[in-house]
Amino acid sequence: MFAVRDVRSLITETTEEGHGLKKSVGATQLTAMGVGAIIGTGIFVVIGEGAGVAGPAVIISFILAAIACTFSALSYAELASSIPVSGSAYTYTYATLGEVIAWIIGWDLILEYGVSVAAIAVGWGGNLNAFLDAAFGVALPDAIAKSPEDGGVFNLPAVFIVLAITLLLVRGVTESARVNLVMVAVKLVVLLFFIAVAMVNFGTGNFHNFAPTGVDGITSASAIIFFAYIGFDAVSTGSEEARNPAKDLPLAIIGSLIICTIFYVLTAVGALGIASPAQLQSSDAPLATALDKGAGIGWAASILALGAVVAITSVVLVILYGQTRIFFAMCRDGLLPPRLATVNQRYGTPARLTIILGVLIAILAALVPLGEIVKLVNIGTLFAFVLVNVGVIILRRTRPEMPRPYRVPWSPVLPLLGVAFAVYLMSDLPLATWIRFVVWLAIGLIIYWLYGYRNSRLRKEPEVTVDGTPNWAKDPERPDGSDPR
Amino acid sequence: MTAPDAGADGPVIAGVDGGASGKDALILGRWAADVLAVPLVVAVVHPAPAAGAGRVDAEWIADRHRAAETVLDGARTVLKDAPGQVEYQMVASTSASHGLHDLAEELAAQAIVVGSGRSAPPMRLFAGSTAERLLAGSVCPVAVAPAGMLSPPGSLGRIGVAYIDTPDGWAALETAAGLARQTGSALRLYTVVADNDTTLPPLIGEDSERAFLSLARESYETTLTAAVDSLSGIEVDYEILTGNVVETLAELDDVDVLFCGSRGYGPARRVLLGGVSTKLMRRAKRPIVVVPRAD
Repeated sequence: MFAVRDVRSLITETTEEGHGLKKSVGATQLTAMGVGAIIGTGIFVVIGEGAGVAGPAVIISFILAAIACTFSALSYAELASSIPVSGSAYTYTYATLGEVIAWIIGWDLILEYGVSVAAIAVGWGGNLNAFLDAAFGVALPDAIAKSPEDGGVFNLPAVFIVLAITLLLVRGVTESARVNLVMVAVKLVVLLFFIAVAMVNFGTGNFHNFAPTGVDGITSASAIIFFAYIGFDAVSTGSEEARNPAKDLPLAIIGSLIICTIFYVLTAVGALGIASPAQLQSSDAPLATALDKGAGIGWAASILALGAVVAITSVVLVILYGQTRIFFAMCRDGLLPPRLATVNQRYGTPARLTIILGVLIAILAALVPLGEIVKLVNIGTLFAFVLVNVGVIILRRTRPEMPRPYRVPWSPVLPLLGVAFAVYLMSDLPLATWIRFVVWLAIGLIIYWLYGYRNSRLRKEPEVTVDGTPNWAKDPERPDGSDPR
Repeated sequence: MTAPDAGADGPVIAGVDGGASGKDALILGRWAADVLAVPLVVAVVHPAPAAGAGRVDAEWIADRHRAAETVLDGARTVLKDAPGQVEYQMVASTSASHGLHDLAEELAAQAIVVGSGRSAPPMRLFAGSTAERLLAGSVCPVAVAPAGMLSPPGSLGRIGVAYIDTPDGWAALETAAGLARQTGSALRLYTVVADNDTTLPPLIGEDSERAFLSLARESYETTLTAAVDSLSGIEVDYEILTGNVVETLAELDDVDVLFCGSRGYGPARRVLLGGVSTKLMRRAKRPIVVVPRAD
């Protein structure tokens, strides 16, 4: 159950031509990468929920969440740098901590990615509606634009965007680095625009009752707006491209978190300067609502909502893509049925898998309110942090000889702090979220014991074959590597 | 088959994807490389990592990379006994057409050869979207091999060219004549005139309709004769066919390859104006070579 994958076999996969990444990225570029990955769409979506819980003190919640991320990001970087292959947290844990932990992380990532697509899709719908409302004075009726719990029947725009992106992915569209760069720029410009307009119309009225719910409120809000920081692991996985990982990685991780935190704090200050926490909380598109309902500047609200819709669309694509690829990796490793992961001959994509996941996520986005979805994403991510931090501590003991281009300083103090912060934030999530998460994990473990444990390729074919490629790494339809035609 | 600005020794690229039509592309590419006395590069495009957080697709990319290797191994088997220099390359790109374009530019390729789509009925060309997208802005001629050619290229001794008196027609003619010289084949120019329209004559009178057609035919004969006379050193003639342009050219079965020009419209305009070359690529019985305009 704790069998690990041979790191060497992973290396042969990724060092072939076209795969070797240039080791040429310095601290500045890594930081830029990090900012680009973190400033996703969380801020467009969750600031309202956070302000509703903590009041203006949500500003402090942003800082708290950033600190929690920092420790875990450092641990993540050590793990990523010690295994010189491309991969996700799932790949790293498979090679270091063994199959069952890899399974848990993978299963957890499927939840995290799938549920965040749903959350972001709801935010997309909210911003679309805010745009229609501010620009043309028409909006979709609540019945088809909100979840049942928020007084609607189902969320049609969210379903639409998830299914549309699913079809794109089936056809084989992925976001290129250039598009990604443009989208990051759109997000930054939109945020700067919001901050500028908010500062011009700033009022201090909403700050008088700064922390209505006290420390509890601040940590609870942290556990929610934590969503806005998801994505920072991109810097950690950038380790293989780093010129000098020991020095540049911590600089980049901390630097990008600081820059993003400044952005977020300014955004939060601006939002509260023009709108009340109650106004922010009631909306799926809080920033647009702040401009429209709070400051009464309809034109600015429509510009912001339009920018958000554009930027969020690309994030839905990236995350849904990520989820299908993690699921694919687990299927190929035999932990989930490989039949699900067949590659469509026409499009060259895992079409079946993409459609199944897309439909499930669409159902989730249609029926579950934003706040609940976000909490579920966060508990999953925080749990993965705990595993990664613990993993670093364990590996220092079990495999001290493993080369580590980047090492977390003061281990095990910093990883333990990472665990502590993650657990602290998790403990502030409501019981209902915990129950949902535990049920999800339990389902996962049952599947693992019933299916994955017996069908794992690692277990079934542990031997490395003559040509050096492990059996599990070969195409299931053509184990002999024969001509497909 | 020389691209306007390509070096004389650039290779021919055969794009394969493991589909049923890959073998046709290899056969046509092998022949083209032989005739031009340049190396053949067999290329397979596999996905490049997507932008986004956390390298989540590393295993997917690795898996597709292995699949691409399998495809190249298949190509190696097909070309096992082929003479001449063959190289095998993998290209990481976001799309097959992008990857082939980039490779063609990098290698200053003479031509890109692709197969038709998988769902093709035997003997018919059904170019997939890759071939269509390749045409948009290709730097070198794009050749599309129909599925399961009855006669291998080079066995018929005649090169065809769909000729019209426009810059893209001249470019196609020039490239086709160059190939005819190199292979010692005969060259035949084809122009298609519309059939008698049966709906209009009652309105405008059958006489004037016929008069118009014969006038059109005469002017085509003049330009074709001029074009034939401008070529030296090869055996060349022309034929005027009657009927629907695409259908008539698609039915040609006595040429090794048929050249045609491309006006290089962007995708939107091509749809509006119905470029002949795009439609022809889908239906022809013989390999089609679409030549980009020379400017």
